[in-house]
Amino acid sequence: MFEVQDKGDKKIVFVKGEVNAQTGSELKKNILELFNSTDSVVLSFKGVVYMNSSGLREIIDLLKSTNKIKKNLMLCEMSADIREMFTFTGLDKVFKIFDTQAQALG
Amino acid sequence: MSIEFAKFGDVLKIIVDQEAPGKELEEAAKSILNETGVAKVSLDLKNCFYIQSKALASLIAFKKNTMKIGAEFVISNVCENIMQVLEMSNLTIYFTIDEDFSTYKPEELVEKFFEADSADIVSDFIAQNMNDTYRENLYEIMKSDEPTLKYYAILTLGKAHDFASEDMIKECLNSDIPQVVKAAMLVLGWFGDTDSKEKIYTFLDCDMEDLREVAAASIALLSDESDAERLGKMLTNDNASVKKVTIQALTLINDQKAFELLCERLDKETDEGISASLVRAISSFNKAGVSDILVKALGSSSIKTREAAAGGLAKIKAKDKVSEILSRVTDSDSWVGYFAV
Repeated sequence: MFEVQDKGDKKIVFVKGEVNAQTGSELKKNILELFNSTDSVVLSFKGVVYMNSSGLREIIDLLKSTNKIKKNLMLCEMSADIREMFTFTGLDKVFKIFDTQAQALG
Repeated sequence: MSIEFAKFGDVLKIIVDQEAPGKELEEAAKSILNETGVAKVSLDLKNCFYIQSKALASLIAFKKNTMKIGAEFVISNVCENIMQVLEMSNLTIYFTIDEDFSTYKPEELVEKFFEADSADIVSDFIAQNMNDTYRENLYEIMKSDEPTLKYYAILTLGKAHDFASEDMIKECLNSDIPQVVKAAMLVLGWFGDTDSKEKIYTFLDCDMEDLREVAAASIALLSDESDAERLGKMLTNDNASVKKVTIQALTLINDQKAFELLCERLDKETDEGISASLVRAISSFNKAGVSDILVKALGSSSIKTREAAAGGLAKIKAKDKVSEILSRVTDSDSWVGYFAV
């Protein structure tokens, strides 16, 4: 459900398909493992068509764990519908969200 | 001392007081040449509210001397008055100007919650750098009744995942101040505090649109298998904005029940704006039958609905429906043809 690419000292993860309780939990586990070898992960939502509240809860939990270990998590390339879910729930204030991959990678 | 030097690693911070005499500024600029192991010099003007034109020469000297020791020079926390002077002297292109909240005392920093331009950035800064001092300061604000400070304090504690403040934030659901209730509902949703869900439900049909929207969003975040059904009752509400936030919440819940409720409502809905929202919402479900519903909506009498259906079909890449969509291209209604294309 996702591919990882190295971009300098950061890693970019291309998430695909649906983010729900199961895939979100798997994604969270894998991203936290990635933090063993990098300080910053960018999650690209370009390939995400569907997401539900359970998936969103897993992404919140991922951010919580990321902050606890003092690493950086950034999100980018969301479709209008997915971005709307973050805005609707106020989570656009909590996550670092960028329009493009280039902006997220700084 | 009206000019204070502080070193943090390879960053030299120079904090200037409003009353700093010109001579002292000149001396401070010269003293940079004696510094070693400095990669960045940050001249902090947080305590300065105006600047005399003769002091501009000192600012230039600061930059020149910083460049001589091979470091980067930045002017931080420039107020509007000084910014105007720098603009009038065409110096804004000469200096790098940024905001550096790390030199502010916590009580000074939270005062910035009153500044619309800075409040969100300050809140992010505190959340990212949360420590006991900031926490105590925010907890103090939580005991106050100042709406703006309290609103940002709650959001900041939420962004910092400060679960120790959960009970205090829950209390804010009983506040008379809508802004405070709104922040509390948002944060309790982020925290996954399902205990507050029933209380949040009470705001779903209140008079304030802002609160209704946040209530629906937080319920969706806190939802279990029973919530789609409960929220679904709001789909028949007379108020179009209540219906819209309910649709958004059901889209976020995204379970079988939510799907059924949205499809049922689409069959009965007469408001074309709501119908379009329903079509858009249905296209966000990964369920069998979605493409059929969208193809049917492509023939709707409402342009808004047809547009939403076309967008939905493109979004879900309904390749199995290409022949049906193509057959609509030559529809007698040119708008149906337009959206099919």
